[in-house]
Amino acid sequence: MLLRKVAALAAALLVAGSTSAWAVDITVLVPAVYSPSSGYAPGADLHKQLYDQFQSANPDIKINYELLDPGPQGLQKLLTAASSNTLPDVAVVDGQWVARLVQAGVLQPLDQYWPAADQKDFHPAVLAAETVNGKPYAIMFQTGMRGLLYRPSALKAAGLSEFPKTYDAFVAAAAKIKDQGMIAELVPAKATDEPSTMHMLSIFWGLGGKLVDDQGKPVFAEDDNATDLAKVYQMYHDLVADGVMRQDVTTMDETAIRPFFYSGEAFAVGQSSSGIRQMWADVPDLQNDLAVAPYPMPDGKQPVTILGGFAYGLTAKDPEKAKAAWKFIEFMDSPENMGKLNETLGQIPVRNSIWANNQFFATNPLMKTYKAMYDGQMQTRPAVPIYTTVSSAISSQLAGVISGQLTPDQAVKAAGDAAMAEYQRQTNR
Amino acid sequence: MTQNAAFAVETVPALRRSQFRINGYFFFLAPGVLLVLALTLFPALYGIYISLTNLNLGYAGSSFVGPENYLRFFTWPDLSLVARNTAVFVGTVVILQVCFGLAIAILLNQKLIGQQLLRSITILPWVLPSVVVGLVFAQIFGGSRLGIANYLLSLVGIHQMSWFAEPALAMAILIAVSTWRGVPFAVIILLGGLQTLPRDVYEAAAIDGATAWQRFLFITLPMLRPIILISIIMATAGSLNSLDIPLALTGGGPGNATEIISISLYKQSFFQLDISYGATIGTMMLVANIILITLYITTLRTGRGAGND
Repeated sequence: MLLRKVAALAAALLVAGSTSAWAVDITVLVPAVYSPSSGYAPGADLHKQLYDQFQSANPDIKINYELLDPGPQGLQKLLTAASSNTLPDVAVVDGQWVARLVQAGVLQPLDQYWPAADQKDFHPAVLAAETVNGKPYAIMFQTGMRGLLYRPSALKAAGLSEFPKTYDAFVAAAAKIKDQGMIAELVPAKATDEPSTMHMLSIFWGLGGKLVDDQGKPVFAEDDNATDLAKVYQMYHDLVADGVMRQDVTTMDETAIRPFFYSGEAFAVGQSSSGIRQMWADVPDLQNDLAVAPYPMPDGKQPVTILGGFAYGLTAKDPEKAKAAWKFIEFMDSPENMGKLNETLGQIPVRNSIWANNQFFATNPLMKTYKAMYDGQMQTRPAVPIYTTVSSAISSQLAGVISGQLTPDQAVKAAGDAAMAEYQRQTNR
Repeated sequence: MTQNAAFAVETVPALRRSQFRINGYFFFLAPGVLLVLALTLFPALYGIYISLTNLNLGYAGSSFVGPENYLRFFTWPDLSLVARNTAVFVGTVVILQVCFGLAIAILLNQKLIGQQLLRSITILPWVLPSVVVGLVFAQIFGGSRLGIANYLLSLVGIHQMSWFAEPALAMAILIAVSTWRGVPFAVIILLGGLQTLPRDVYEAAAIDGATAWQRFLFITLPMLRPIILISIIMATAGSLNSLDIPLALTGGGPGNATEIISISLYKQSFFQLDISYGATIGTMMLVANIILITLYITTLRTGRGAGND
């Protein structure tokens, strides 16, 4: 009897051992917010549920995830992993990193895996953002859009029937808003803070400005681009000088601005769509009293929405692992699961089918406004190494312009000089 | 048996015993020494090596560029501003931390009711992660009505303030928060030093009619001098290399009015991805640390010499 039990146990261990020997272990490097370790409980629960669902459907694949910093440290980690041959099999990366990761051999092309029919479900600008040398290298699953958030109730209280569409109309409306004891607008303008530049870029691009040329050389301080950038700086300066915006926006990022909105001190605030869920959680009343407007533009121009978000990338080189890794990417990026994630995290979808079929995105008034912006002009930040310097150089001048220590033209020149010095250094490598 | 052992020891040649002692020490010390070297000396040397290259994460590969990054550092337009900010920040934080630390240590060295509880409360700021401290104080000094400081001001009828809009006020808040975080560490070191001072010297001084102030000035301070200098060295290194609180609190703003050297290093390395220039700034910080510590140690030795004379 005992012998039989021992034999059965040995057989079970043998089977278990051989099963684990056949299983493919997949390592996924992922920012916490897009993993079961998310600090946002509904997001964590959904990721856990999806991971479990994938494991049940694919018992031969074992998913191990490790956290990746969503900022530059994450990029550094991936580049270091590439040089030490310790790359994961899947990485969730900032779309902005794709070109650099392709250059370093971190990302594998997806053309042999990703069906063309599925690619058609994405906005062309989304596909273009992740394509290098004609091949797609990542699948974006969300984007953040920047605009001015406001309360329709405050709009009504100020006697306005609709959000001003032009810059002049907004400045005129600001007087009525000030009468209500509110600051008309707060837009982040902290130096060397990427969102500060991103808010500026919507206007700069809308005016027709260009940051870099086709060779990746900074041209934002040249010719018409310089005029456009100076105009954006002038708008920031005038908004503060006319009392439409507070001078201390130069110390604020998007998070620091929110309390002004929550307390009713600010009428409109420059925010990313990615923070909507958080704002709804912070102030539940906002669920029924929050709207978004594109930046009011001068000269009859339209702002350009910045497109950019996180994407699933394949990093496995071993064919068997790559096949398993693709299965996981395909599962997470399926219209159904991507829709669930977008809705739960409150992030803007990049699949047309999600906009059309997901009840939340198809019917929520705020999301419908984002859809109108999504259908308009969109542009990604240039995927060139000099971009971080350009971004830093542009936002660094805001404090000087707003305080009046620099004229807009001086600020453009200072930003251009800083970017060109670094560009010259890098091209002489 | 004992006699045999004693005989065996005596018969081992003196030279062999000495060699064994050296090898034995070496054997036991080596792992620790190697670990310390691997974790401190190697990163420092590697950082210096990186600073002589053009490694930038935005670009593939890197090559040796000699002192180019150092030339860039010394011709950096913001160098004087950042150096001045750093000097003001470090100098003030060190003075305040050591002065408050000494005052609190002397207070806690008295026989007080609830002494243990007071000591535990004093240590609390040091227990909190510094990045949390930075974020909490950023909330406290938020410019909106919801900022705690503004709310308190509103209770006494004072209009809300933009705490981080004025460079001088922003720097003052940064210094105050860093001091608040660092004082407990100075208290621990100085309280430990105070508890080692001989009581009989104080008793003799009291018998001779010395006042409390005289006892502090002529007994406590001179005897505590080495401990104070250690405290100064620790506070200097801590504030010079401090990043999390300045980054979370002001991020160097408004503009770059409160940018200290550690923030510059962070921005270059992790925002601009210019690792080699970041390493150059790091190497210059290392040099500054070494110079300051050497200066302190020299002062300590000179002081001791003068005392002996």
